[in-house]
Order: sequence, then C-alpha cells, then structure tokens
Amino acid sequence: MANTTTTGNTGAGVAAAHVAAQRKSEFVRKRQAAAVKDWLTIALWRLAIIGVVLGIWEALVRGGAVNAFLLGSPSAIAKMAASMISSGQLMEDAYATVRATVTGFGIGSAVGSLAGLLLWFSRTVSRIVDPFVVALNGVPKIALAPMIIIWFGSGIFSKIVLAAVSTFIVALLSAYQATHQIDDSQVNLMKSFGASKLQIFAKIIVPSSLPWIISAFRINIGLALVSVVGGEFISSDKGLGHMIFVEGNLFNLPAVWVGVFTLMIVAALLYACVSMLESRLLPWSEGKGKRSNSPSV
Amino acid sequence: MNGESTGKGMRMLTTSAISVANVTKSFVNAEGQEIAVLNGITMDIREREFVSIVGPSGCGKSTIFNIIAGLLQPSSGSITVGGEDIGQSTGHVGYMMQRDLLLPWRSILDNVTLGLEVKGIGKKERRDIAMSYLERYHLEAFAQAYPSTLSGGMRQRAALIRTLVTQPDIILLDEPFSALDYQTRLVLEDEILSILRDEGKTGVLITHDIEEAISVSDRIFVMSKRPTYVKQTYDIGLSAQYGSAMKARSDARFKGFFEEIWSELDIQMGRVG
Repeated sequence: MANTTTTGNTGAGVAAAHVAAQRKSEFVRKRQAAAVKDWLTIALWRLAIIGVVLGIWEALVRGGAVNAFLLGSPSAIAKMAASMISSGQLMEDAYATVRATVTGFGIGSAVGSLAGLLLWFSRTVSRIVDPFVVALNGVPKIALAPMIIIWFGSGIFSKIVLAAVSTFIVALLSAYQATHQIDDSQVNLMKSFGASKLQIFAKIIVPSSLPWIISAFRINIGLALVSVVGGEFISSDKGLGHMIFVEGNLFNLPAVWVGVFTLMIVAALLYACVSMLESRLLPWSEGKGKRSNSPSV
Repeated sequence: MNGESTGKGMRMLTTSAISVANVTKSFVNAEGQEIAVLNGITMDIREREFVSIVGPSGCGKSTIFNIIAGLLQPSSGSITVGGEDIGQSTGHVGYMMQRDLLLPWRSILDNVTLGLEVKGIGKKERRDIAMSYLERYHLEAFAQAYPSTLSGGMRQRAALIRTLVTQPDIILLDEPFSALDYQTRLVLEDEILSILRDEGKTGVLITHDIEEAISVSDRIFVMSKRPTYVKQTYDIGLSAQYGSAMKARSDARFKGFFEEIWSELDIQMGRVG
C-alpha cells in the first residue's frame, strides 16, 4: 500500500514536472514565434518603403515629370547594374576600394591604437605631443589627399596611406584617452601585489582600454572608406570612387547610382564585420550580455 | 581598558608585524594650500593580531593603508613591516579594498590568480593553488564565470581569496563589508576572522562600524578627525575569547565598549550632525 502511494506520488511528481516543462517550452515557443513575427513585420515595412520610393521614382520618370537624364530611373539603374556585374567591372572596382579601405584601416587603427596605449608609459611625452595630436585631429583628413597622391602616386598605395593616416589619429586619440579612464584602484591593487609598470600595462591598461579602442574601430571603418573614395575622386585608375567620378563626368547617372548603392552595401558589410569583431574581442562586455539575455530570443 | 600600546617592556614576547612611527602626510590642494591629512600616526600592530581602525569619515584611514602598502609615500615618519623599513617597496602586505575590484574581463579563476601571476608563478601551479582555495570557500562552481554574474557577497569572497592565495602574512582590510547587506556581512566577518586565525595572519581592518570593530578585534585604534592621529587605543579581545565574531556580539561588555568608543567619536561627529 505504502509502496503504491509512493509510486503514485512520484508518478504524479514526474508528470507535474513534465507538464511544467511542457508549459515552459510552450511559453518559450510563443515568445520565439512573437519575436519572429516582429522581425518579419519590420522587414516587410522596410521593403514596402523601398518599393514605394522606387515605384514613385519610376512613375515620375516615365510620366515625364522628372528628367530621366538628370535623375536616372530605377529600371535604367537595374539594367546598368546587371551589365556592370556581368562585365566584371563592378566587382573589380568594389574590390579595389574594399582592399584599400580594409588595409588602410587595419594599419592605421593598429599603429594608432598601439601608439596611444604606449603614451600611458610617459606622462611627459604625452603632454608634449597632446596639442599636436589635437591639431591634427581637427584637420579634415581628405585635405591631405592631394599631397599624399603626389607623394605616393595615383595607384592603390596612395589610397591605403590616406586611409591609414585618417584612421591613425582617431585610433591614437581614443586609445590615449582610454588609458586616462582607468580605475586607479585597479592599478593600486596591482601595485599592492608588487606589480611592475609593464605588468600593470599588460594586465590592466590594455584590457580595460579595449572597449574604447574597438568603438574607435567603428568610427574608423567609415572614415577609411570616405578617405579612399575621396582619394579615388582626385586621382586613380580604379575603385568605386573612380567609377562614380568618371561616370558623373559623362552624365551617366544610372552608373553613378550603381556606384552609390554599391558603396552603401560595402559600408554596411564593413560595419557589420567590425561589430562582429567587437563581440569576438569583448566576450565579457555588457552589450553581449544584454544581447544573450534579450527576451526576444 | 584603555590599553597603552607603546609599553615596550610589556610586549617583549610578541614581535610587531607593522610598526608605524610618527607618520605624517600632507597634500597640496587645487588652491595651492597645504592640507595636512595625517598628523603623526604611531601604532604598533603585533603578529597574529587582529586590530581595527575606527574614525570619523574622511579622516584619512585609507591614506594610512595606502602608506602601509607602499602605494603612497609618507611626508615624514617611517613604516616597518616584519622588522624591515618598507622604503619605496610594494607587495609586502595583502590589501583588500573597499570595492572588490574584480577585473570584468577575467573569469573568477583568472581574477583570483592575479597576484600569483604578478609574482611570476606558472599557469598550472597558480590555477591549482587558486582552485583549492575556491573549493575551500565554496566558489569552485563559479571558477569560469565572469564577475558580473556573481552576487555582492560572492564577489567580496572572491576578492578575499585573491588576497589570500598570495600567502601574505599581513592583510589590510579597507571596509570590505560596507557594500554588503547585514546578514552577508555577519557571515563574512566570521569567515574572514576564522580564516585569518587558522592561517596565523595579522589583520588590520578599517571600518566605520563600531559594532563590527568590537566584534572582530583584539584591539581598536580610534582616530581623531583630520589632521589625524591615534586618539585612543582599546583592548577588546572578545572574538578571540569566544572564537567567533557573532558570539562576541552577545557578550555583556559589548555595550560598554560601544558606548565608550561612540562617545570618543561623538565629540567629533556632533558638529556634522
């Protein structure tokens, strides 16, 4: 008798737990379904807006309300894009621009961040260079383009240098400022263990500056692209900037639009890559935590 | 009861762990005036003793710790730790600060091994040492977790382990319980006390909580307001007698000590309140 009761109880317990689990999974499933629905609604709205804008544009051009020569039309742009893709020209130009952007960004950000971090070692040196860095930062970097092209030629190398110079300053400034945001107590903690200056640098200064350095990457990737395209406008033999500039001079508006849209896509992709790099490099950061705890997923 | 701390003849048997002699410290403020913080501090802390420093807030208690730890240089006077003048050196005491200061980018295990890492101990060895401590103090399940996922009490315990793994003979505790809720605090007080007793360490605690000071200390130094000097020294020893800070709180003499120390502080705080 006692036995049966026990079994009955356990059975009921297991069943209850199972029901609870099922209810929970149902709850989770509902939340997930709601999240997918939300996402779909937003995506559909976005597509609808694009569709409506393109539709009105096309209609206005066809109806003769706007000049197709001055504005281009979605259908002409699509046709142009198709021919540029099939001829391989678009890919070639996009590749040249992306390559110069990424290389220049990489060199400028790495060297700049490192230099900014190293300034932590000497208060005197950092005080000496401070006004120069601030002054350089104030100069619109594209103003350096004519000189850099004179020095390094009109090929891809001058674009890399241009992107590297623009990103260097921003990277240096943010790394340098990051080393001034350090929690003194953490440094004191290291000192209380008898840590050397190099140990404090490696174990406190670098890791706690990393979030600032990486947020500068986000700014820098856009800055690098602007510099490369700007340089291509001035003098170049290929690249999206080159293509836009040349086709613009020829009043080939559909080709210019193709260039602009491609730049948009390139910029978005590069930004996404940097964001991915961020979550990879900062696994402890709050942003990540929030994302993984977000109720929608 | 108001024991004299300087009677050398009386203390022949015990050696002093920390000896602070006539230490003064002044800062220059933004207006270019000299501000005296410490005004000739002299105290002698014996080996294996647990003492507390109590004083009005802003009286420069943390400054004393920073000087003992070698993080700040005194304007005059000297610090002797374990019989040696510390000069400009650091690393001779374990220092647990007000905030846990766990590094957010390191797991608990890697936080706890920080001091061993600084001292150049190999990865495997320092992890083994740290794991044994984490197990002893029931944090082994959180070894791989980031600090942000732990409660305040657990974080403070991890900070204590980080201090202990380097095996310092002397541990400075700067209000380590002030951010914790009352219950966690009582439990941790007892825990820290028994850890220090078991391992034969000397402990110095800064606190603004008189009851806490009475319940854990062998002796209490009461500091004056700024510029600070040691106003009075009390021999307590309740926790040593009962072997527990919690039990010390129910001793008949507890209230008497409290009133005495409170009145000593009250004179200075009266103006603020």
